[in-house]
Amino acid sequence: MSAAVRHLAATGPWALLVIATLASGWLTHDLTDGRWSTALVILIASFKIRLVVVHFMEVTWGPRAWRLALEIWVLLATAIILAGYLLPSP
Amino acid sequence: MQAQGLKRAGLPGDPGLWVFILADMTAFALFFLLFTLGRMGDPALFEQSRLALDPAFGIANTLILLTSSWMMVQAVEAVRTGSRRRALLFLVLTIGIGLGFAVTKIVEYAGKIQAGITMLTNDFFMYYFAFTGIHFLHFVIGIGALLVTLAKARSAPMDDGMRRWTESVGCYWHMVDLLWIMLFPMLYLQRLS
Repeated sequence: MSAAVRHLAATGPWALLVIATLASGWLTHDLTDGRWSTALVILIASFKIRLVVVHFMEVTWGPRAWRLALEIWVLLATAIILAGYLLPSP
Repeated sequence: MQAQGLKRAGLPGDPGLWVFILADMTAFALFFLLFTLGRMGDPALFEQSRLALDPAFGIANTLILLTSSWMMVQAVEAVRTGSRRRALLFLVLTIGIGLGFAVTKIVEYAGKIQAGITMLTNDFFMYYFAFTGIHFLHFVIGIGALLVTLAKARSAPMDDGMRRWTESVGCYWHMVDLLWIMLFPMLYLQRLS
């Protein structure tokens, strides 16, 4: 992959990350349903982390076990926060 | 032998650093669990406290770290292709943009302390100051590692050792970014459901 192609390859994910961040900010202000917009914001954060892991950290090219470990971390972190948020308090 | 295996398979940087990254991320997952349990115990207090935070700081910090990370990808690529001039340029941009995070964080902390909000105010702010403080410590270490990389990039040979070092620092820097991506909505954006 040439340097120019690699430059473009990182620029697309960065632009998507910026858009997703701004969308998260918008969701917290403009939607009346706080419950589902918050859940969506957490899912967006999860998606953003996957973009960083795959496109910035380049785990795609590494051993499958490491990618799996990071994928499990993303799933676990998202599940902890999302379940705690959506489940009724004791 | 393990290191050679990882390198062959193409994981960037030093294999030992990846063990550290995974361990560190696991610690943060535990922090997320602690905060979530605390929030479930007293959602009204956490909501009231959260409203004292300004999401604009969180959004600004996210954009700063994302952009700094993007510059770091370019710096790593420059070292891989042996372009010292581009490596220096993108490392300076990575550090310069990244330092914006320190500025906004210090302004934010100062505002809270001036308003009489500290770690001792309540459970929410104990978690807020502890977790963002630990993350900030990671950030400071990252800036230190980037400054060392900048110094090396000025005169060190652009060889395999330099490539591995820069990739390692890059992956650490992306981890700092990644952890903030989840800390931000957890602390600032979880509205009372």
